[in-house]
Amino acid sequence: MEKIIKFKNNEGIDLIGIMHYPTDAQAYVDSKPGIIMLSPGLKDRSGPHRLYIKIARILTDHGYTVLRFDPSGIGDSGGEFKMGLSLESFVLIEKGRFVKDAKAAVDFFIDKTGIKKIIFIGLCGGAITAILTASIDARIDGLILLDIPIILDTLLPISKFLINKRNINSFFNKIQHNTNKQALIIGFKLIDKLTQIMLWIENIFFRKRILNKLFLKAFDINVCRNKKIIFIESDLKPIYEINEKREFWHKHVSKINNYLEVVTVEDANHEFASLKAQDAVLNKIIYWLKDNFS
Amino acid sequence: MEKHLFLKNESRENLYGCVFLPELASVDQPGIVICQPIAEEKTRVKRVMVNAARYLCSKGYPVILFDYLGDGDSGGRFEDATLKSRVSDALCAVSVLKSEANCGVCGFLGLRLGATIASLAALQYKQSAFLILWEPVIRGSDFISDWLKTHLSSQLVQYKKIVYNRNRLEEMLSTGQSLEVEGYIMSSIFYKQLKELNLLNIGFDISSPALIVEIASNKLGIKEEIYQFFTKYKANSDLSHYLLVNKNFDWANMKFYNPLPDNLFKLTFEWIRSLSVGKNN
Repeated sequence: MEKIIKFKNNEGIDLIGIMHYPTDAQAYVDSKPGIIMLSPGLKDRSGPHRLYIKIARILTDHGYTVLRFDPSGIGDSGGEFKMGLSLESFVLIEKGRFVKDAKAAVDFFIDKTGIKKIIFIGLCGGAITAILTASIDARIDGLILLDIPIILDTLLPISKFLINKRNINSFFNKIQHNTNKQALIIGFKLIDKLTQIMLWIENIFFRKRILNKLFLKAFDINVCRNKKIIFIESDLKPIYEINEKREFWHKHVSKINNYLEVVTVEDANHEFASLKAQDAVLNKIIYWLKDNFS
Repeated sequence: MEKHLFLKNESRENLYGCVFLPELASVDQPGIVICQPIAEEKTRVKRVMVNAARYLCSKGYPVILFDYLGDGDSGGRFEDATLKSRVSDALCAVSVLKSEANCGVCGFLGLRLGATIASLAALQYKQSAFLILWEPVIRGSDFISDWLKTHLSSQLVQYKKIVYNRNRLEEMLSTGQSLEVEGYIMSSIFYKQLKELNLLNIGFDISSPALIVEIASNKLGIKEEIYQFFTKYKANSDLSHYLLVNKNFDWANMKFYNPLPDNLFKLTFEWIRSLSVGKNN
């Protein structure tokens, strides 16, 4: 059964979500942990490529109660996210923008279901929110982290300007009455090319990619507290990201133990878009839950 | 007030929806049924559509926003949804909005394929107060082409080469096979319906006025096919209007995030207001 729900975060903002109940929900209260899915980045509770809905429905078939919800400013919820480069919004999320919403979701979930054991599932920004929240909330027993970003990404001001097509548009709109169309079209194409070249150069030489210290701290706290965590990684991503993750795990290999698992899904992009990747993720989640929480 | 609910479509599946009821409700105001784009385009612009609903509601119009069968929070599988089922879902939304908001007439607003669905739904509904089409997909084959491009890009990432070229993919679809594009399955039926779809070839014998908005990256010229489509409405109603607005939100990627394209909202509202349509008119 799926039920539309509404609750408030600590700022009084209405958050909207869906509760998925298994057929005999009461029978599972003591035996199965509850699952809360944390929205990825700027996309809503359906997840990219409906990944969250597919996970929630299958887990419900396996007897789990699942909550998916939109954090403030996303999907149907209240609040608003500022207009701008998505990358800048991602940085805010990576610094914990949605932690208060995740905590409110835990309060609501426990209150509604009586289930005391909580597992977070999150992709990308949702994974960061999950690990940050779990480090300050003892009620979280386990984490399923899909392709968690560990780097804080920033762009050079010139790239920000070029990506932000609004600047370019407004510039060309201002001058379009004084010049001919052909020249404008060439101008647009040149700017597009320039943007691509700038981003390429920046990626290789200048991009400031620093490890997210908040992630590192939260990672250490959760590991120290022996929270059960599975990192599910995709393998189709830029080589520098693969290397960054590899370097991270090389440094922290000693922390991998019975509580912490790292797995990679083959032929999966960052959003686990293909059905094959989604099935693989689902299998890993189901087996991990069974192995650790039955 | 926002009322979130599940509505039942023709095949008794749950469709997720939200009815936006203005604080100062007036029976004279027409209701607005918003038809969203589909699949990942819908995910990228979800917040824009929610904000459009909130904006229009704040101006006194009851609005409904809903997810099609197999999309968003609705029940069912994406591959079971067709062009016809989506049009039928939009008509269900009309009934729900009418009963929830007690409004006599409804108009449609849609973006991308949602705009196409809105125009087809208006054809069946007949009493549509107005039609607002933001960047409608005029030819289904263009939409298919975008999906195939995505499929080809995925192949390049996964296999480092093209395994099935465009012709082969179309051949598969036309011979009854379905095609997965990044987690969404396009059925052969949906493909065939899209392939046949060309709004320019459909007789639009409706007198309701239409606002057709081309959302362009630059204001260098209008898209011929969208303008041609507009002329059909213009012939039926002098109130129909064509607008060219700056593209400051995107359904194809999320590099720049703009959940509130307020200029688009404002121009849309001003056009609806100029119609002064309602129960008593």
